[in-house]
Parts: sequence; C-alpha cells; structure tokens
Amino acid sequence: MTVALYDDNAEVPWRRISPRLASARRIGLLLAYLPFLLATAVLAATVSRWLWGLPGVVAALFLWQFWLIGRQVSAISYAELPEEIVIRRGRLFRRLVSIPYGRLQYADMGSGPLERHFGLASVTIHTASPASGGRVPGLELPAAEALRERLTARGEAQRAGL
Amino acid sequence: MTIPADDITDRGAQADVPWTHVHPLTPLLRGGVMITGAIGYWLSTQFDNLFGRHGDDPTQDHLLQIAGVGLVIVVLVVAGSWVSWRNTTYRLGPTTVDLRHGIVNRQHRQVRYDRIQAVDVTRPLLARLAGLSSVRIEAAGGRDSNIELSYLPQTRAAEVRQALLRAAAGQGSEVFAGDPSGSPRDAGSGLGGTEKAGGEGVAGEAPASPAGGAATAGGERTAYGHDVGEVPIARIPAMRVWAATLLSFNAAFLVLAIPALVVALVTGSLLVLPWLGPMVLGALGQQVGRFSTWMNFRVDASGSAIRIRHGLTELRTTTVPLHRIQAVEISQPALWRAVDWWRIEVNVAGVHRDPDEKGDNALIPVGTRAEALAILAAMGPRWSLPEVIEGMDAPGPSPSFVGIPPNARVLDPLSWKRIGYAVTSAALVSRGGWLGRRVQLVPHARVQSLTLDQGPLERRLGLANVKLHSTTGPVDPVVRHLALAEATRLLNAEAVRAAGARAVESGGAGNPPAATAPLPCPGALSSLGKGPAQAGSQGAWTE
Repeated sequence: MTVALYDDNAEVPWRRISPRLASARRIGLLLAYLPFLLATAVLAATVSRWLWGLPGVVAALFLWQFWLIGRQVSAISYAELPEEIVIRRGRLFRRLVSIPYGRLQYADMGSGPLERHFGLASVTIHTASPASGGRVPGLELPAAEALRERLTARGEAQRAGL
Repeated sequence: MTIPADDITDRGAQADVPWTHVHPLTPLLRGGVMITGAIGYWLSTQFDNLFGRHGDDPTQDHLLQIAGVGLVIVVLVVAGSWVSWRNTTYRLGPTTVDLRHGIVNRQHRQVRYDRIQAVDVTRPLLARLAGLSSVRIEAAGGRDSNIELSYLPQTRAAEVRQALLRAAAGQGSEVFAGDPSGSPRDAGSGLGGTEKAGGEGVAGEAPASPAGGAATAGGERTAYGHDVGEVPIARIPAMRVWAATLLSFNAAFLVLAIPALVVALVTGSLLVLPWLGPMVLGALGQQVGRFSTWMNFRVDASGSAIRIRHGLTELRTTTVPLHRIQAVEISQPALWRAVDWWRIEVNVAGVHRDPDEKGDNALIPVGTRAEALAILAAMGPRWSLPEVIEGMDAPGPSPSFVGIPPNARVLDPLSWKRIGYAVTSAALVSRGGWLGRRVQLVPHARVQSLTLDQGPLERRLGLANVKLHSTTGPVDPVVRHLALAEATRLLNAEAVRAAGARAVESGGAGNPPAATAPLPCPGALSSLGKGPAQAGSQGAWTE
C-alpha cells in the first residue's frame, strides 16, 4: 500500500473528516476578528473617514482566512493501515505523517467548546518523540472515541521497545 | 571512612538490604560550607556592631558570651548536619535503588532497575577536593524520577555505578556480585589519598590509560577510572581542544570583533557597544563553555555501553547504553576539513540534556577520523557501515547514495550534489553539507514515525522532504529535497523496513521487556579497532 502526499490511491482507505469542523473554526475566526472589526470601524466613524481603510483590511484578512479554513479542512484526511496510521493535512505546506501503532505511547481525545457544540472532537497521538506525533481533528464524537480505542488497542498489541 | 561497603556484595540479605549512609561530609559540601561561611561573616559584623564601639577591645567583658554564642551556633550547625546526614540513606535493593532523605519532610525515592536510563558519576570541584563523587541515576519518566546519591567516596561511587549498570542491563544474578575487595580499598582511601587521586587523575590518567586498559581486562581496576573489561577508544589531547576551539567561526568572529571593540572603546565611538558587546560576550562564553567541557575528554567502551569522562573543573562521567542509542550524527564543521576532525552526536532514549550544551551530547566533540570510526565500531556492526565513510568523504554522487534532482540546485546551490540517502540492511544513512559535512544514521528499528512534507517552493520544483523522527536529542534525521516520487517511495519503503525491523527486534507481540533488553553486544567489542569497512560486512543493499 503506497501512501502519497496528493493522489487518492484507491487501495488506501483515506477518510475525510467532518466538514462541520470548518463551521466551528469559522465561528472561532469570527469571534477573534469581531473586536478588531468593531474597534477599527468605530475609529473610522468617529475620527476620520480616511480610516475606513483599516476595517477594510481587517475584513479582507477575515475573508481570506474564512476561505482558507475551507481549503484546509478539506485537505485533512487520514487512513488506518494495518501497521500504521497516516495523516495528511495542509494545502500550501503539505504534510503527511505516518505513525506506526507500535510507537504509540498514548492517544488523547480533546474537544473545545466550539468543537463540542458541533459534536466534534480531535484525537492526538503521542509517541516518544515530541515532534513525531499527529492529530486528527474534526471527528464526530463517537468516531473519535472509537478511533482512540482502536489506536490504544493496536498500540498495545504491536508495542515496540525504544 | 566508616561506611560499610558490603551491602553491594551481600546478596544473601535479599529482602532486607541494609540502608547505607552517604559520606558524612555531604551536608557540608552541599552548601554547608557556604552557610557556615555566611553565618560566620554575619556574626563577625554583628559582633563589631555590638561590641566594637565600647572600647579598644571589641570583646571587652563579653568574651564569654561571644564564645558561648559561637559555640551554640557551631553545635547547631554540626547537629543539623549530623541529623541531615543521619537521615540521608540509600540502598541497592533486590529490584530497586532507594534514597531516603529529609528531616521534617521525609522523602523516599525509588527507581526500579529496569527503569534506569543512565548512570552518571559527577564530581563538582569541592567534592573532588574531598575525594568524593555523586552518582546520578536518570530514570524513564522525566526529571522528577531522577535520583542523586551524593556524596560517596570515589571508589564506592564507581562500584555503585557499576552495580547499577549491571542491574539495569538485567544481568540477573551477577548484579551485586561486585568487587569483593571493595570495602578494604574503600576503608584505605583516606582523605589525603583520594584528594591526590582526584587532583592528579585528570592529567595523570591519560598517558597511563593504554596500559591501564590492558590491565582492566584481567579484573583489576585503577583507583579512579577503568572498570572491569573497559577498553579505551579515544582521548582528546589538550592541544586538540585548544586547536578545535580556535578553529571555529565563533573564534574567528572573536579575533575580528575584540580588536574592533577595543578600537571603538579607545576612539570613543560607543555606539557599537550595545550590540557588539553582548555578541562578543556570548561568543566568548560559548567558546569557554566548549573548552571546559571538551577538556580531559575520554571515551571507553565497556561491553554494552560507552563511557565518557570529561570536564575541566567538574569531572563528569556519562554512560551511554548502546541499546538506547536512537540516532547518530557524524559531522565536520567547515574549518575542521583540513585537519579531518569529526564530531559524533547521538540521541539517547530517556536522556534529556540541556540542548545548549552541544558538547555534552557528543560521544566525541572533536575526534580524529580514526577515533570517530573506532567509536562507531565500538557501537556495534549496526552503526559502523561502509556507507558512513562514503557519506563522509564523497564530494558528489556516489554509488550507494540516492541523490536529489538537479533542479534542487535552486534550494541547495552548494550541497545539492552531496545531499542524499543510502539504505543498508540495518539503517538509513542520510548525508549533506558542502564545506562542513554531515552524515546521519537511523536504524530501521529505531524510527519513531515518518513525515513527508512540502512547502510552496518545493511544490513548484517537485521536491519533498522526508523526516525520520527520533527521540529528543541533537540529531534530527532528515533527507531534504528529494524528487517527490523518490520521497514517496522512500517513505513507503522505510515504513515497511521499520515495521520489519521492529518485529524482528521484539520477537513477537505483547512482550515489552524483551523489546528493551540489550541487543547482542559481543559484536560491539569484537569489531573494535577494525575499520568499519570490515566490521559492517553484512550485505548492504541500496535501492
């Protein structure tokens, strides 16, 4: 089974994450941008109309990131292979990580308030190397729980010493 | 010295191994000297204030009080030290090493032998003057799980270290069958004698070591130094430390910057001071730090481990168990090309060192080619491979290595001919660098996980990087800027190889202790001294 950065090889069971993650992240983005938008708009309205450029820039940044989130979320996929889990993400900076089950130290499940609102959670995989872990975000809660349990079980079955 | 040294040899008392006290001078050395001095100073100033103004004789009429107060303080300090010493005990039990300490807040710390990652013997200056050492035990599970047995007489520290290493290596019944002559020698080494050994050991040892190494094979052990079966591999002479410290960009910078700084000060152009001053200080500090850690550097092989001793003011002994080495980097800064000196750094599982102290992570910070190759040979056949020499020497494309495409020249204008990887039956070898050179080695069985990544520029050029993640350490194995198809192939092939190597090593699932057990080590010693070309003779194959 050959995994690659881009092509969707038919024999690899790539799975996509929930598109609702994009909604969750977009709401988070809006919450982060709203104060800036309001502050710059108030500034422009009260001080000088030449300052309307500021909220314009903020809004443009917001729209760009809004669009980017959709691209990023649709770029995340993962595959559970017999020996390892493979996670791909990123558009501009594309990254594929392949973590053998035998190297798994433990797997975490986490869910922020926004994610929880959409019924989503992420599973984080830890190995003995801090750089080499991986994270699968935007899983439906039951799917995340099931993935974490599968990972733990396979990790125990295939555990290898350092 | 009154410390009974027989608990190490006494295996009969399995359940109740007696507790042993650390050396009585310990509280004094652990800051006691400072506290005593500070109290003394404070008292003297107080007495001056209290009594000095009454007349010519500062102790007029108050001699008794002063003597009394002084005596009380001395008694208190001594009593406090004594209680602290009474309460600091350790023991090497059947399966664990234990340390109890603390007066009010009693602590009991325990490390299982199979959790021990490394055992170091350190000798800070003060302790060294008193002929004492401390034994530092690093265990899996972070900083809090370490134990420091301080201070013990030097010979005793060496025995404890060896016993711990044997226990950690799981050599069963021999664990505590230490040197039976341990206690008499311990008793015989008075303060004067050990002090002398500590002071002279540094300079006196290096010349004597080849003979000493031969003698150790016969079961003898020098007062401080070789253990049974230890084979000397490398010594860094002081001249080379000087030369290597000077042959660096840091030193070149200092040579230019210090006169500039002086000129600036003399001519009064103080504007350069705020930025050049700190730079000079930083560079100077780094060079001094390197110098002091590289001094008296010695490397010895002892069966399943490599021992490093080094330090100018503080002698540090580090033991690197071979089976815990995760990745190796052999590198050569550009300025060392002419003299052909190399540095070997390793990632060791479970040992987290200060990342700023580069020298401390090195198996050898500056070694000749022969020494570097001898260290690789001592590490075993898995590490000493002909591909490593090829990676060190080849200026351009060479038979064993898969290179990177010519259009990577944009990103690596100088080193694109050298960047590449080779696959052997045991490990993946990655090389790079143009003037300064670098070869990285990761055994297939030690790969944690694999990453394939690509930035926007690399995407335009059709290139990708493959990273082989290792545990925390100075070595960060990577093969950069391979053609995308080649990188994809490497990642997939390496995943299969790593899985195969893991399966072979663990010999079946659900067997974690076996997986961490030491690898067969006879090869490590038998191949010692031979060139890696002969030692690594297993059929190396290349993709």
